[in-house]
Amino acid sequence: MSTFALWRLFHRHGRSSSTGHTSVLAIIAFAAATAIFLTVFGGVHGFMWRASADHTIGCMFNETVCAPGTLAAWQHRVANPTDPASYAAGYVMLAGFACMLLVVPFVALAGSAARLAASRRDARLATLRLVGATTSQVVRLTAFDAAGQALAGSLIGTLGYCALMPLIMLLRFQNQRFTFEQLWVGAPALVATVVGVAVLALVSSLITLRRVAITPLGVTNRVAGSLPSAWRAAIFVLVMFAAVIVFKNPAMLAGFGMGETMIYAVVIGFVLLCFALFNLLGSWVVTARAKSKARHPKDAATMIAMRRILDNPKRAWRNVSGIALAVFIAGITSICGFLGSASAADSSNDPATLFLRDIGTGGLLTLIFAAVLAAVSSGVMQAGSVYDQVNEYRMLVLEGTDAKTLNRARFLEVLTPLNIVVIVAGGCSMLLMAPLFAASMTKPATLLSFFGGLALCYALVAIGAFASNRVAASLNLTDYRADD
Amino acid sequence: MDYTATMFKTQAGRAVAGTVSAANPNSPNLPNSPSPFGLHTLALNHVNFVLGEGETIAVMGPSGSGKSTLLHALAGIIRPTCGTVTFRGADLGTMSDADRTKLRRSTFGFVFQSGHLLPELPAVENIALPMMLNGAPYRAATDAAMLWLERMGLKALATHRPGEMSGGQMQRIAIARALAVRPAVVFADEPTGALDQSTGREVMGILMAAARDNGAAVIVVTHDPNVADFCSRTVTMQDGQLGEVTR
Repeated sequence: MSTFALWRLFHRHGRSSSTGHTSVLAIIAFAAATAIFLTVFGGVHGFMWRASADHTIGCMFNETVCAPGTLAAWQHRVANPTDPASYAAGYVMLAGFACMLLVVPFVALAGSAARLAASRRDARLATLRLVGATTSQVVRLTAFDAAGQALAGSLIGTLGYCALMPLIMLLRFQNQRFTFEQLWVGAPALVATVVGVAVLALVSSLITLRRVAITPLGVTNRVAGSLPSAWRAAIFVLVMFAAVIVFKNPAMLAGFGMGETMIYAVVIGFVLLCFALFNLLGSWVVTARAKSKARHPKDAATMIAMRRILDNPKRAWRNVSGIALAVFIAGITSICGFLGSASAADSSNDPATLFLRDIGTGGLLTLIFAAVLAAVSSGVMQAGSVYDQVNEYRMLVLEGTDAKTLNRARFLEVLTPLNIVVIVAGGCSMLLMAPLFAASMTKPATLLSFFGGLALCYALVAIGAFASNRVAASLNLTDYRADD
Repeated sequence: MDYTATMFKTQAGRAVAGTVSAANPNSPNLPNSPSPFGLHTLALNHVNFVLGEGETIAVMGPSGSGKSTLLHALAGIIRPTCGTVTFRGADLGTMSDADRTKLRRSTFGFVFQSGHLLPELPAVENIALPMMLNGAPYRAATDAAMLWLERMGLKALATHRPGEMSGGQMQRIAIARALAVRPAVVFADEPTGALDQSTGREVMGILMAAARDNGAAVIVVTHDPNVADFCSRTVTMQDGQLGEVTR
């Protein structure tokens, strides 16, 4: 029997409702990831359009291909320090930097969706193996399924990108609004994105399937998850310590014979390194917190939540990693926003002031996108785990567990890691920025922007948790027939 | 104990506890007609059931005869379409969802075919969970759970998770969990269905002894006559109707 024939069999009527629901969740996740990716990419395209003499990407990188007559006029504008065009290249670089920052939450969401697509077919896959399907057939079937969902999700996400465009066009950067032409990434880019998301899902699901053994007797995890070790924390602390020393004494770098550009590069490099290492530290921090709370949980909901976190700290970290990284970004960009708005009082149209203010706006946008990605990821994973653990939920409900306790357990499962990573991420970004912008950090505008960002993150995660509770409420936990 | 059920009609499944009754008791539904809330067959038909204090009853019958529906109706998980289930003077059908949930939590215990232990929790916490749901603090609940583990001969497995245990061990943990809240009634749905005969006998022996020591009544749904032999009375279900087996 061909894999396609198996796939058709798998998608005929009578499929289990839980599988159908998780498919919808995976599609939603892929759609959200694609819509946000294309929106951010559209923004980068807009800045490149503005930074190019003839508004083509080719001209930006290679002046010889620019349309005749455009280059000289553009160079004249760039040379004028009062023209915002003089900062155009800086905008492109920072937009690219924001894209890089969003890679982590984006990959987390796409990975979550792929895992969701690949891992919830336990019983059916085992049955297929039992009736004679080979391992490779089952793996191909699951991978195709994930890719199919990714394809459907990314197509919906493309529509989402178009729907979001009017909102993005309301934003002002370089003292002007974006136009459709600037934000439209073009059909080839759309096709490449749709294909890219499908390939990402395919690869991610194959990696997920490598970790499970699908035998005729069931699907089992090949490896028991080990808890993250403390060396991650040690490395992170060391790098943070080095970064703070360097940031406190930038003159020290000049002593090594570095020029101004090199010093900036080292500072940005340290920020990026801490950002990357924070990803490594996250699951350890989450584990440490859950372990301490699991020792003496104050009630049943806390006990269930902490044990679930410890069961898979990586999953718990993935649920909130986007938020943690968003907070890290918020800490840094809130200061830029303050600096921009502080100098705006003097000369609101000065390109340097505009640049700083736009960094603040861009940082806030990056934060919103990262928070939305993280909230969708967290909500989707939570809702997926509701379907995954329906038998346990059923048992708990029959035993007399009230819905409030179950909802609270799910909420704590997200909130506990979130609280600890927000504290650590916020603290780290502030610690890094303190030596550079100590005076600006205590200003109400900076604090307002920072804590506003935090409030937004919490609100979005709360919406995700609420959505997963709605999913749980929609399950009919007493509709269970053992044998009659 | 005053635990009686008089059910003229009860439809299987879909009756979310407390939110939707399977059908209005006064609705003119014909037997075996589809429920207004979905296509559900009539699972119980003119069932009268009485459970005495500390009594042990086996419910036997072929697949689809309504055994599990009877269990769910008796435990207040579903409401009879027409009729009443009375426990200690209270009609389960008229109780609110919150009250029925509280009743199940404090007065009933459940043992299922495959244990249904929470996979993330170690054995001791699985047993402590119902006590904590009743408001017991963690320390008190886990101390009591340790005593149950000792009694079951599973103290060494206190920190083990269900995935690290055999089927028989999991079932013994499930029995400890069901009895830890000192329930008045234990409902067991095919408690030995996933075990071999010898382990099944051992598990049933433990269940009955523990229930007897706690003064709990037991209702066991089973296909296995050997399991039914552990009970003082056996009833049979056939096409939703209850019959008595005399021994």
